[in-house]
Amino acid sequence: MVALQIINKILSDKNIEIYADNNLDKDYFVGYENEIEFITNHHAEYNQVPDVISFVENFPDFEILEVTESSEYLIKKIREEYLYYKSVGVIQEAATLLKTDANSAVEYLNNSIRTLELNINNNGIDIIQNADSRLNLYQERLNSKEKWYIGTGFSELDTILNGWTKGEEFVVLFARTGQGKSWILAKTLTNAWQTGNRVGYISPEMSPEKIGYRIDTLINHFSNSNLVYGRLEPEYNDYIQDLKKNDNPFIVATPLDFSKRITISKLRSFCQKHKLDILGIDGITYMTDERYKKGDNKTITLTNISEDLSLLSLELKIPIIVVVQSNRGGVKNDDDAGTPELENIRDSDGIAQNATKVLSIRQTGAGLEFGIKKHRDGAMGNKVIYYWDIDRGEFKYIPSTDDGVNKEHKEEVIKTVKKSYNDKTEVF
Amino acid sequence: MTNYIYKFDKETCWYKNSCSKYNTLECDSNCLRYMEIHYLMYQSEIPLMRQNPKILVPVKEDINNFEFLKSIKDDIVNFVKNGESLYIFSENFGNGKTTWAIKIMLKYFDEIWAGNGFRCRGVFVSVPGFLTKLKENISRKNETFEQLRIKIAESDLVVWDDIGAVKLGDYDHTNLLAYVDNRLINQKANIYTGNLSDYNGALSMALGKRLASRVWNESSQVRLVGPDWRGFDGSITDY
Repeated sequence: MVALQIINKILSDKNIEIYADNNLDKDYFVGYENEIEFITNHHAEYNQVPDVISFVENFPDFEILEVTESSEYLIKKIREEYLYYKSVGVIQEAATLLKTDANSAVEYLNNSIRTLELNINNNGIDIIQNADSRLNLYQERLNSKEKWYIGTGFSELDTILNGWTKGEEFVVLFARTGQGKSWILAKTLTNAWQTGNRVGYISPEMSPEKIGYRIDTLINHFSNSNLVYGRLEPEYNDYIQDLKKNDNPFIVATPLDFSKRITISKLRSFCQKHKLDILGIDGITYMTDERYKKGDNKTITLTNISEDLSLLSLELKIPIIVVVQSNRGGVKNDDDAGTPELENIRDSDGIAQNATKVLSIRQTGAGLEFGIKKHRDGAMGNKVIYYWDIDRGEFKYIPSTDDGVNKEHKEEVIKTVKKSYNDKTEVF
Repeated sequence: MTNYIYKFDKETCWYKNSCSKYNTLECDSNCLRYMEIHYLMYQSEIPLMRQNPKILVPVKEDINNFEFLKSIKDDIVNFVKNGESLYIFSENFGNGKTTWAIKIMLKYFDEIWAGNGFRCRGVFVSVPGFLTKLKENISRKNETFEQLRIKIAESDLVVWDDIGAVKLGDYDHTNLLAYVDNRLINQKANIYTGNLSDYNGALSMALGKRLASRVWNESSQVRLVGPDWRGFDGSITDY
């Protein structure tokens, strides 16, 4: 009935705004799809709404009514009806799934309900009239940075990236295999944990114990090989006893914790259950796309997942960092050729498109180079190099005159380093 | 170079005899100077046996020449910054041309290692060997050679050792001229060593007039007159 009322209102007011301004489409006009399509097409072609005579000529059975209801009511009502029609389909599908697998049904329901909600809340925010909320946010950030940002664990990198933002931060770390992506993820999450945050680490390839040894190495610089192979590390016992005194958790989960299907819905529950402040995922390709439709290829799937992760970050207001492998094109033979580029992200452009920050990693010389390939709120194209003692989990900034670190800081480091050698005689 | 592997060995450290940190707790693989110099040396392709500074002893007639070369060495950062070139030549063999060229390059590494960030900054090119590889690369593309070409184009300083030792054919000439020209246009520094002194005569004959003009006319020139010192094992000066 409400669809009929809206069409009558458009015809009588000779104005299509009620339709256009509220982001309606023909799917909202169940049973009147052809009528609304005729009106919109006519409007698009002649820049005006058809008059009643032309309209009835095409739809002789259409009932012409006088509409006195307000636009607000009609919009609210048509959205409610639309939600009803969509919900019926979702609930029926969930009911079918429930008969065989309750987990799949709930997972489907979780994901689908979010889609339904998005359709009824699309009014946006007037950023002019609501400018005060922005000002308040800015002032809060100005006065308490640690509340809004989590350091990367690499102080020089932080001078460029300003750390990870709590909320609206979807970070991609990418490199070829064997370059140290997982270690870097562990390092940045360890730093987040050390600064009091609640951390989640999704590890599709390594056990929680193995990740644990890495974290121990990063925190206390134990030899990682000694821990992994059971060789003597005298202070390890005391360290573990001290470690347990910390209240904030560092949760490591493997695919088994997600019934082998890591989906956005499950990640949402995981983050909410543990009240996480930051989430790291060691391999986006291990995730399952809840929006998958028959025929979707890997590129579409990964684009969907990255889009959903980006929205999840926004929804939960936590940074989400994912590790992605670069393709073969990302292997630079020339040592001076730099880190892999965005086009080298394997299987999907969409991943980089949805990311707020993209960092590529490669080993160079005796160091590890971060290339900043995307930075939504800052300059791109910068690099920073660190010496990395993989066994001891130690990272040391290697200054480079062409890196992106603050010039004064860099020059100070160069001067101090050079002076520290204090050679007795000239060598060359 | 694709296969670079960082390996720390304090006993072969270039600064072993002068570094205040040698054999202390700080003398380990974390040494920033060691790692940067190790990388620069590897990328430079300076032969291993020539990577350590060698003391040269001038004959009386070469003292001024040595002083001049030392002045370039001492101001090498500006020499490179200004994109200057130097031709060290002598009719005699083994009297220190290549050693001087390498000494100057090593001094450059010593000046710029802090803040280098694992970049290739200088390359040593043995011209006869380079020309052979250039021809081999026509029929069979060699990745290492391709990397060398890039390094020659991009490095701050290139030592062209023994230029003019072999008479250039048309192909050699065209290519070598292109490499040298490209560097000069981009104001990148070069040090040439060779045995040919007569610009209008032997040098132009060997390199062709265009290349000879670039090597000779766009460089400072130093003619060493000392005898062959190869095998000498002593030191009386600190050049």
